[in-house]
Amino acid sequence: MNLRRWFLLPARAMQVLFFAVPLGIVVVLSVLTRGDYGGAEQPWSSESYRRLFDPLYGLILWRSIWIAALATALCVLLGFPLALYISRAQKYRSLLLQLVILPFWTSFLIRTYAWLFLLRDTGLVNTALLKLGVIHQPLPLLYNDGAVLLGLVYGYLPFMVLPIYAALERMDPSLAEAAADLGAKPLSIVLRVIAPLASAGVLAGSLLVFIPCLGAYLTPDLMGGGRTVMVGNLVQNQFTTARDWPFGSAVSLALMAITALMLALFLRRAPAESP
Amino acid sequence: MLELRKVSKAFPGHVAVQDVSLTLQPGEFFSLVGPSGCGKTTTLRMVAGFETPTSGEILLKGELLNGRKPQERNVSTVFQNYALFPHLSVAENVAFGLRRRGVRDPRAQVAEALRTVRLEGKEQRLPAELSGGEKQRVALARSLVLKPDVLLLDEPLSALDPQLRRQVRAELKLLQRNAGITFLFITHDQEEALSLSDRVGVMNDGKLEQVAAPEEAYRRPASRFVAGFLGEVNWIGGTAVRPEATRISPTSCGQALPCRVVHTTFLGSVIRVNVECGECVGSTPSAELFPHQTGFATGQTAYLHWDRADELLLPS
Amino acid sequence: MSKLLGWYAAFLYAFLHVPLLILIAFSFNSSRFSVWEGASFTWYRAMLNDTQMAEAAWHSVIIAVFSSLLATAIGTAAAYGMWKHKAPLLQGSLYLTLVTPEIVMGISLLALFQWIFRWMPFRLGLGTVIIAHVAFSIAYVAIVITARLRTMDPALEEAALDLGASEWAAFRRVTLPLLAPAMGAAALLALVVSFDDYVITSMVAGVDSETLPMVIYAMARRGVNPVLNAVSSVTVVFFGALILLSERVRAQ
Repeated sequence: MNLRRWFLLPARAMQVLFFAVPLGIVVVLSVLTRGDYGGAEQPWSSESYRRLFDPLYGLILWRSIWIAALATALCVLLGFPLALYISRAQKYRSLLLQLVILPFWTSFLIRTYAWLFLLRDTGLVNTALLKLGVIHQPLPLLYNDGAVLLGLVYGYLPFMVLPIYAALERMDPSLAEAAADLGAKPLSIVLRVIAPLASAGVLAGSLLVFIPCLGAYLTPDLMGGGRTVMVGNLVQNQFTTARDWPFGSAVSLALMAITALMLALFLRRAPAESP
Repeated sequence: MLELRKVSKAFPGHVAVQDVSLTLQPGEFFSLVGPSGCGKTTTLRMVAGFETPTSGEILLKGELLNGRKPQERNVSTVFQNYALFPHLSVAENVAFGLRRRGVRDPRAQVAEALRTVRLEGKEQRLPAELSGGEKQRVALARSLVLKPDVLLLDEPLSALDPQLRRQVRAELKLLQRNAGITFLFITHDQEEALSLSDRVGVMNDGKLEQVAAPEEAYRRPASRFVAGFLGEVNWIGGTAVRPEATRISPTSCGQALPCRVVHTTFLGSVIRVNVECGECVGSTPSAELFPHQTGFATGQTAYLHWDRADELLLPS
Repeated sequence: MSKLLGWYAAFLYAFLHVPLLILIAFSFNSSRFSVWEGASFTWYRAMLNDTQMAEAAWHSVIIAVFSSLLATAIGTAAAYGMWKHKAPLLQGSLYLTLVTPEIVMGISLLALFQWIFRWMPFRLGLGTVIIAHVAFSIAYVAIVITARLRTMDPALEEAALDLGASEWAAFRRVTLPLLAPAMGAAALLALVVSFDDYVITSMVAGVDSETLPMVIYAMARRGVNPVLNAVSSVTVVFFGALILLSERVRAQ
């Protein structure tokens, strides 16, 4: 019907003008050469893509994938028991869920700053430990890969808990009861009966965590202090300080390609699920 | 009033309606009846304008309806789940169509419509506060107030519990008589169709198998399907007879068919006796007895007989 | 085992919430060090006196309000349009928006604006930020509205048409009122997402259109500043209250 087409028009226009066209420009930029004053100019060149394979940048890429994967795995390990707990809760279930969702409504920047406040050399943790005499010098809790991991897990844990909870909630509780009836121990029930059935939730949650972590910018920047460089930082750097837009574009497209690959793999595994 | 000329509707994969032709007379209560998936709802939706016929014409008072949008047709629909607007009061629901027509003050007409369906006093209620029967009456009032040429009812009684259904049936029939509006009534319940309608149309698998008055369709079904759908049938050899026309006696007489009693069921007003016989392979025809008549024991030999006049003449 | 789970859950909830609570607590600390030295409103006063922060906060509010209103309107229209008729390209593209890394969205929009500014007399500023925010918020709104539409009986609009309403009247008088609560929730979501955004905003904001997150980021980068604790507390409490209020309203 005609009305429908009018309704779709604004969104379609926005998507074309401010999503498709910008990405198209990025593609064009990636095959140009760096200008003297920043920006990009002729001649056409595949230099940017060649530099992608430079071991220095390859390292950054691999490190990003590794950190994102590790963060995802940690989220699964930490998040699954919590989701299990909530799904078994008799009362207060909605409150428990809200407490998980609540951090999402708080600024990611502020939550990251909270950890800066706690972990810096003169932060609460170090001050307390020094006062107690446990240590004599402040621990370098920040500005390393571990801090970045902490920040990422802290930030994205809710995105893992909720899909797993949703999957567990849909599960038939009598299955676990039947297993217990047949003599299985609680842990074994979790591992053998519950976990496999919740795997769809784990998969969805992994996608919701891995993809943002891969392209993370704020966390490695603030908690990694410039030492832990991930792909997101590299891109930002090329478009600001380094003023190498062609190369930054190439890196962006590489990031998007990996993201798309992950998505395709996920959709292959679970075609009926949608986050 | 309403005429369908060889109307068909094909969806990718299957044909929902095939060459349906029928004519509704003004003021008639017409039921389209058939099992789920037979195409009756699709036919109704084509008359309402929610589906477009793949071929065929639909005419209302001689004018072609094909191509006209639902809002441009003077037909009104009562939906299966009533589709009352939850955020509007009963009065506002009933007034909705009038307001779309530009009526500034619909209160008088709304009041009259609510009086017709006996819902005075509930003007300010919200649909969520009403019972199923009340919701149905609001839906009716909402459509009737627009004085449509034809009222389309999509299984309006199926959402009600059986107790309520009988009562509402009677009210509906009375309402139709008084209002004089042509009703096109869709149902899968043959009892409903037979008891309410001036004429019934029996549909099966997209095709209209018979259009006739209820008694005619019941006594002289045009096909095996119609016979079996509208009531129970005893298939004995090449003959079809209704159970209520089948007699059973302990002794043979005349052309009676020998059989053996398999089962007797007490149904309250009648006793049903199921038998098996040589000619009735694969089925257990039944005869009906009144409780005061002598009963039969399982395994007993008995004799079935019936009036030839009661035989259903069906094409082979 | 459920006892173990219970303890574990408590620990994890603490992990999720304690850092923020400590942050808020120390915003009332009279000293700037991480040692408690008595309660005080010093940092709140400092925050209120900071003109740069006040201006940035004002920018953030304007951007959030405008972008959320626009995004809600466009996103609702899109979700409605996709309700009964498939629009696979639009739907796919909206999903793509959600999975695209923020930094990539940011730089691509920057590239677009710089290219446009070669011919048109505009600069990076509040306008470009608002456009960017609308661009990424539409998808969120569409998701919320689509979820609501799935539970809506399509017969309602059919009934409206049947009774003589035009398609537009059916939308305006039947569907839209029923969508209103969901639109409110979507607008709130867009508001919060916009107010908090740093990455994309930093790429497309001009020199005189700083937002609160940008100021917070700069301060956080320089080191820990108790004024930041104060700002954080105010932001957290304000939005927390807003969310709780909206949940209350929705529960009715």
